[in-house]
Amino acid sequence: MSSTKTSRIGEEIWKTRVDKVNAELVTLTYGTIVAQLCQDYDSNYQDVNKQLDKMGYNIGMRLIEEFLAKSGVGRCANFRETADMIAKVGFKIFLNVTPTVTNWTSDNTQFSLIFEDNPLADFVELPDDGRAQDELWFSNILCGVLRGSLEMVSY
Amino acid sequence: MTSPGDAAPVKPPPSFSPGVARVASTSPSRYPGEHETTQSLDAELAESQSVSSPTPLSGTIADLPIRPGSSHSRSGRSSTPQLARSSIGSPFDGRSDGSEDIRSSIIRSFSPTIAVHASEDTDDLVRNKGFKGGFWELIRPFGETVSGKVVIRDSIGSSRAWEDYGVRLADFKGIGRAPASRDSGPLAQMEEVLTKQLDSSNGMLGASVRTKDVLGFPATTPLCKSFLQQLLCSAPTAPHETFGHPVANVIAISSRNAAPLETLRQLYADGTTGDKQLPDWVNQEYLRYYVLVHDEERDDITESIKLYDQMKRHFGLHCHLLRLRSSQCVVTDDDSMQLPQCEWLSPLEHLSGAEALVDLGTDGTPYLFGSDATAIRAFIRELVVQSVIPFMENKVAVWNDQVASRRRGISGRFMSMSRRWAGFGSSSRSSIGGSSGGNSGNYDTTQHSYSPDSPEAVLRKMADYAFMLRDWKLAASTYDMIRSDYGNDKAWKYHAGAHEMCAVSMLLNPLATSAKIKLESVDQMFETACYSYLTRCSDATHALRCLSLAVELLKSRGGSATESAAKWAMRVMDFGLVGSVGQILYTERVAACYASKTAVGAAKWGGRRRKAGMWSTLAADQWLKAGQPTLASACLEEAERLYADVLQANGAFPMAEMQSFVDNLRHAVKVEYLEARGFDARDEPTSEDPLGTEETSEKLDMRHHRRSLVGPPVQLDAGGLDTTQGPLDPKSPPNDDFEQA
Amino acid sequence: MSYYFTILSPTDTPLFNIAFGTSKGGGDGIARFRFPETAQYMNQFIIHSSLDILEEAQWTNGGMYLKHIDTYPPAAAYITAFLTPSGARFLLLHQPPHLPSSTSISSGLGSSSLLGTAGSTTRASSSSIAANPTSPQTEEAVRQFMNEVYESYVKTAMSPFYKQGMEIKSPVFRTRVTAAGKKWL
Repeated sequence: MSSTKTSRIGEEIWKTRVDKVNAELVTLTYGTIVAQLCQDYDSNYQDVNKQLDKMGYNIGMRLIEEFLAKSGVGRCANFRETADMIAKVGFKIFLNVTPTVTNWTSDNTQFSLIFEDNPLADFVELPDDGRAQDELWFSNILCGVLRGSLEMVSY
Repeated sequence: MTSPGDAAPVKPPPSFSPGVARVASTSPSRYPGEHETTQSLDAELAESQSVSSPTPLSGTIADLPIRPGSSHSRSGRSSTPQLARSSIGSPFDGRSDGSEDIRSSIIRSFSPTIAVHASEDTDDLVRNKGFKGGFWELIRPFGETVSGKVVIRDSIGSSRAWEDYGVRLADFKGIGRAPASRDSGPLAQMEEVLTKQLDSSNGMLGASVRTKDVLGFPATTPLCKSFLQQLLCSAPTAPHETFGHPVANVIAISSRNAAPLETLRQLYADGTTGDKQLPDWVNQEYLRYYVLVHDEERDDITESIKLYDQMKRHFGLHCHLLRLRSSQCVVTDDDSMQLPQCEWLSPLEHLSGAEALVDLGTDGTPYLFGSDATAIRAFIRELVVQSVIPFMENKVAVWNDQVASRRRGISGRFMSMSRRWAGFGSSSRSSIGGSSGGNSGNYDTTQHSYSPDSPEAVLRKMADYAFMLRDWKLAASTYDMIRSDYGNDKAWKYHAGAHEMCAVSMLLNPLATSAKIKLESVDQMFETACYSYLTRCSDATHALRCLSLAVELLKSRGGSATESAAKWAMRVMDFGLVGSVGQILYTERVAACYASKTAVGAAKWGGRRRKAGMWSTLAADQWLKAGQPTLASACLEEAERLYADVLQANGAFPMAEMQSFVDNLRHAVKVEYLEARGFDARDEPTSEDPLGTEETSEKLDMRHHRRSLVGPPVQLDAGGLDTTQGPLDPKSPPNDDFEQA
Repeated sequence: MSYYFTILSPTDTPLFNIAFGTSKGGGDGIARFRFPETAQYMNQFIIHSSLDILEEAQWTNGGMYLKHIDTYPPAAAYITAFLTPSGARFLLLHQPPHLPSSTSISSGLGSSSLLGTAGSTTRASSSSIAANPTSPQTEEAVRQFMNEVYESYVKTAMSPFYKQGMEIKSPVFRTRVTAAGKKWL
């Protein structure tokens, strides 16, 4: 499946088949969750990251079904295609952003998703306690989602 | 305190309370629950000058821990018979905020001046009694309060009785002449008096006589009151206003006189010719009043009565036979009493008086017999009620008909009336017409005065008379009528005076509701008056008087007028009209103005608590710098009380720098205060002052460190993520270096 | 002109403070208040006392921008206020530069007619806002400033780690306010 085709699929589904919800609502909801976690874990950011990942994992395991049902895409031929699918269809339909896929390792088993625009992190300023900037992975839930969903489709 | 119910209906003579220098009460009596404000002005004044006098204290002050030396003096005060006087007929019924005192003070300060011109033999007789200043000195204090009610008819014929009417008795020889000059003006003298008063009280008394009002308004401090009274009587007799011009001249001879009628004629002639003659801008149409002082001990009463009858035949009704004892009275005599203290002393008199009183314990005030006092009181009452008031009423009526109505007629408002009187006054006053537009030519630009019979001067006099008769409505309309004329003539002092008095009489008129008076126009008039006084005439004394009147009267009006009042008080400070102590007093006044503006409704808006609190704090700071920790602590308490409503329950300021400033101030005040107490350093106040200032500045320098201590608690309870914000380090937060820049 | 800008919570807790000077007409953006170094608390006192007026003005004025609401004549300090719908108060204290030539009379009230001539001669700059704190131009410039700060404030308040009523420590916000100050004042 070509890269442009993937984009088209993403656009198509985003326009026609997705129920939209206000971005600020999502942002504030998510922000509140993270802030609450920070408070609950007494600003132990490692624990917060872990918790976010766990939450994301649980979401991902459910979300993959939804994704497949909505998009109707078949099995990906290779990992590069998977990466494309995640960036251009997955993130497109759920968050209306398209991260850039880059930083492939030579054995094609690792890549990076670079977000130009992260709706979850709008307005967010991390606490300036000197640690949060380095230790808190604010959007770690996304990693959890990916982990969960990809696990379901046996990666 | 005595409640009106069980008090004697008439005023007991002051001799009943030997412990208090003077208790002639001037404020209407109030109920015991409101007792804090009932102290009479003059009693407070007397006490602020003399340490040994009992101190008026309110219960609220006695509770304050930092205010010492209060308990012993309380009993002395409460045993004072408070004079219960019916306040029926007073226009101020039911209004008992602290400003009433001031208002009454202001009204009484504009009382008619009566010259006293006594023959040598009369003065001799009185000097024998121990009054060095002669006859005038003897009767002067009695003029300030006429006993009983004084009924005055206003221009529309309705009568009103006044409890607190008084006249100012002036030495004939002193009128219109510059007082024996010290090298400083009245303003500098006032500052000097203030400093003296502060010194004499040694910082202790000043604050302990501070009273608090029932409603929680900061009451006027005695210092402030004394300052205002001095200010109101320090303006020299001037052409442009006739308050200092004599309404009547009391000509007195004694029964010792060999050629009584001759002497009376001579004294009469002194008024118009010779070196004692009044300045030519003083209207000569004043009342002559003849007094025969009979010596009860040496002379025969039948002779005197014979002479008195003769006087009555010669001079008509305006005569009085005053029977006095000629021997000196001492404290131990039966029926002795101290001469009441004068309430209205000019700053110069305050200064010379203070110098005379070497020992505060036994001040130099002479004693006189109670019978003499009764006789003098009766004389003053007869003089005022039967002669002076009717004379003034009559004058106002005549001038109103002859001059004012013509003036109104010219402006087209009362054409018919002016025609009716057209032929009446024109023979004697040829220049009445044509004064409305352009330069009338009546103004003498070299003398800076109008001749006393020009319509401009007569109208001013009429307005002043009406004002002194407390017919403020007529006064206001007359001032209003003439104020622009003076501007046309470029008679700037007259211009300023008319604007000033127009605004003042508008504010004093109790019948005009605040809605009716346009505050903007009053403000505008004060503005004009102050500009004319200060910029065009460089007359700082009158400018200060004008602004102070504006402050006090606007403040007493309440509501939105208090904002203007505060504004004018700030203007006084801004213009630099007052010295350093005066500045602090006016800082206190601003605080008082704002404090008197209370919040309305459930929403509690419209109050000026924060502003009042700020100014009180600033006053405290300044008192401390002036070496008056007691006064500073009083102001600080005041500030705390004012802030109580607007701060959180724990009384902490939301802003860190404010908090640390107030903390430091509080501490410094306490330290200095205790130091002053501990040393009992009456004899070495100088060594104590520099110590205190060092203390303060040291504290101020430590602010940065203190701030970091004060900061966190405020944020801790607000911030949920408490570990995310460490305690404020003075260096680390990025915001701080910006602030310091 | 020197400025002291404060954001107060509805309960009068200060959320943010910044002092800066004018950048218009060759200003270097550094605040020079008339108070001596040791008396900088005066700014806070003046701001705090103007809350009296603000509390009154907020009921009589429908808009968020309340314009010039209060003056502290002794220091010629003018207070302009902006009210957010949630009750946070933006208060800007501005103070024209102290002229060594000015007499005691000229440093009076804004409403004073005596001041009229003296006040307008301050600093021959192209920007009129440095000269007259109550002119319409100043009001407009302050309005722009307030609106811009308000925008930043809303964004800052949306941060999940910012709790309502807490001091704003965000350096981003501070930078934005500084920039707005440079741009408009």
